[in-house]
Amino acid sequence: MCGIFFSISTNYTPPTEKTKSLLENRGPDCCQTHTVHKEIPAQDAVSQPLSHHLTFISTVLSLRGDHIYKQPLVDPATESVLCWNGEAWKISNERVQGNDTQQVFRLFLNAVDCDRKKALCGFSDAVSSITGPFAFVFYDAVNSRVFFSRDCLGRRSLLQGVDEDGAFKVCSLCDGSSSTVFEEVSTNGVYMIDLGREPDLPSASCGRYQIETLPWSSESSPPEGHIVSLTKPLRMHKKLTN
Amino acid sequence: MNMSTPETQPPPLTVNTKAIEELQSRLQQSLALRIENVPEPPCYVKGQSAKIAVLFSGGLDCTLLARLSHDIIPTDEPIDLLNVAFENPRVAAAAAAAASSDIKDLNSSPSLATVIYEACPDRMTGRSAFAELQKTCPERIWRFVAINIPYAETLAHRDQVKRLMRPHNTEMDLSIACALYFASRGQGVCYSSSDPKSTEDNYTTSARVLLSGLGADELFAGYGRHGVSFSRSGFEGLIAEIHLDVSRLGQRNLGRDDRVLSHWGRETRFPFLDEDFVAWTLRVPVWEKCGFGLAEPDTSSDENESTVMTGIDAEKMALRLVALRLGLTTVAREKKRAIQFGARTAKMEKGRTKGTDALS
Repeated sequence: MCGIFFSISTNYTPPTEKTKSLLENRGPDCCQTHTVHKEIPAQDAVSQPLSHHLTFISTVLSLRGDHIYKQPLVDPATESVLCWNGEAWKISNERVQGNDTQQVFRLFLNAVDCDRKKALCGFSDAVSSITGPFAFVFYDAVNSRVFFSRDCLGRRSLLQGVDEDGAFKVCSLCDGSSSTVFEEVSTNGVYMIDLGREPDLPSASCGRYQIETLPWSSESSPPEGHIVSLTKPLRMHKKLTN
Repeated sequence: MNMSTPETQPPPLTVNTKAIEELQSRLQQSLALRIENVPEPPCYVKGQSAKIAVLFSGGLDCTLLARLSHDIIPTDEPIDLLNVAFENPRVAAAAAAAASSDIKDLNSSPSLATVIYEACPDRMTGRSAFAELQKTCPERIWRFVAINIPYAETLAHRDQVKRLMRPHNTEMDLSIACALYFASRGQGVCYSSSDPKSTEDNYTTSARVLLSGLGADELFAGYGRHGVSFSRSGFEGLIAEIHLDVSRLGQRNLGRDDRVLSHWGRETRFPFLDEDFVAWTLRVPVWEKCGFGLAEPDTSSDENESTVMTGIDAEKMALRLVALRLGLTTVAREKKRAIQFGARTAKMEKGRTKGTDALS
C-alpha cells in the first residue's frame, strides 16, 4: 500500500512528523516530497494575483514491476505531478502489465493535454477507464488544476480536511491534532480545485478553496464493465429514497 | 442490477448448476489479477517465503479464496493463513472461574493461556478450515499463523489503532480495527502443513499481499437480515435488501479498514470487490446467488446427492456450492460471524457500552 499527503495553502504546509512516519509505515520502500509554488497573475484590473504553495508527499510499497518506482511522479515537460495509491488492473479493459503508476500518469497527462474545457471531461473519462482500487492526487500544471479521487467502491483510504490556518489537505490518514476536522473523500466522482479561481470566504469543510465535483463519466453509453455500471445502482437508489 | 423475480418457483441450485460453474471461473479470474506476478518481498527465499497471505477466519469466503489461490499460484509457493484470537478479559474471567474448581493454582497451568485463544470461535473454525485445505490440497505448504493477542498488548496498541482509524471513532470501529490491525501484522505461532509436529513461535509472514473475503456477504445475501427480508416480503424484499447493500458498498468502512490494515507495509486485496465480478453478480438473477425460496432438490433418484446438500444454508448458497465442488464440505456449511465476535475484540471491558457509542 502507498501513502499520500497533499496540501494547498498560502504557505508551505507539511504534515506533522507523526503523520509522516505513519505514511512511511504504509509505504516503506520510498518516501519523497515535492513542492510547487504557483503564482497566478491578476486576470483583470479588479482581481488580485494569487500565490499557492502545493506540497505533495508519496510513500511507496512496491508491488508492481521489476524495481521501485519512486513517487510523486513529476513530468519534466509540464511539471504536472501524480501521487498514486492504487492498483490499475486494467485501463479501458486492457490488462496493465508491469508498473501501473507510470501508465496512469501517461493516461492522465494525455487526458488534460487539450483545451481547458475539454480537459475536464477528458480527465474524468480517463479516471473511469481504470479498473481497480485507487486513491490519487493529480496536479495539472498546464491548466492550474488539482484533481483527487477514490474508486467508486472506496477500497482505498483518502481523507480531506482543513487545518486551523486554513490549509486544505488531502491524505491517506488524518493529519494533525484530533481537533482538525477530516472526513472521507466521498466515492461519487472526481474532485477538482481550480487554482486560477479567487479563494472564497473560509468554510469549515474546504477552507478557502472551492471544490468542484466531476461525475464519473461524461459518456452517455460507457463500455461494458465500465465504472459507471457500478455507480448506476447508487444513483438509482438515491432517486428511490429522495 | 437484475431486479427480476421468478414467475414460478425456481429450481434448486446444485453443484452442477451452470451458474455455479461460471461463478467459480469468474471468481478465479478476479483472484488471478490480484495474485499473479506478485514481486518477491524483501528477504525472499524461494519455496520458503510466502508472497500471499489470507486474512483467515476459517469462514466460507476467505477459505474459498485460499482454495482457489492454490489453483493459480505455483505449487512450491507456501500460502500463509492469518488467524487472530484475542484475550478478552471478560471472557477469560468467566473461563477462569469455571476452571478454578478443577485447577488449584491458575499460574501453574501454562495451558490456560493457550486455551483462551484456542476457544475463540474464529480460531476453532480456522483450525478446521486449515485441516480441510490440507486434505484437499496436500501438495501445497499451508501455514496457519495463530496470532494470539494478550489483553496487555491490545491496550499497548490501542491509541495507535485509534489514531489510524480516525475519523471513525465508535466502540465497534475500534473492535473491528483492532482485529484487522493485528491480523495484518502477521506475527504469531506458525503451524506448517509440511511439518505438523513442530511449531515456530516468533513467526512473521513475509507476504506483502493480503487477501480479504469482504463483499461476499453483500453480493450473495450472507447476512441474517437477508433471510428476514425474504420471509417478510419474498423475492421483492430480498432483492431490495441486496440492492441497498450493493449501493452502499462505496460508503462502507473500507477506508477505515485500509488505514489499519496498511500500517504494516502490506496491501489488502478484495477479489469479491472486483468491478467486473461485481457487475456480473448484479446481472445474475437472485435465485442463482442464494437459496431462499428454491424448490427442494430431488432426492429420490440419488441418495448421495441429498447427503451432499444437507446443511447447506440459503445464505450465500452459490458460494457454498462452489466450496462443495472443491471438496470443502465443512467450510461450505460455516455460518456467518462478525470478526469482532469471532476474534473476541468486542466488549473487552465491563460496563454497558454499545457498539455505536463514541469512544471517550
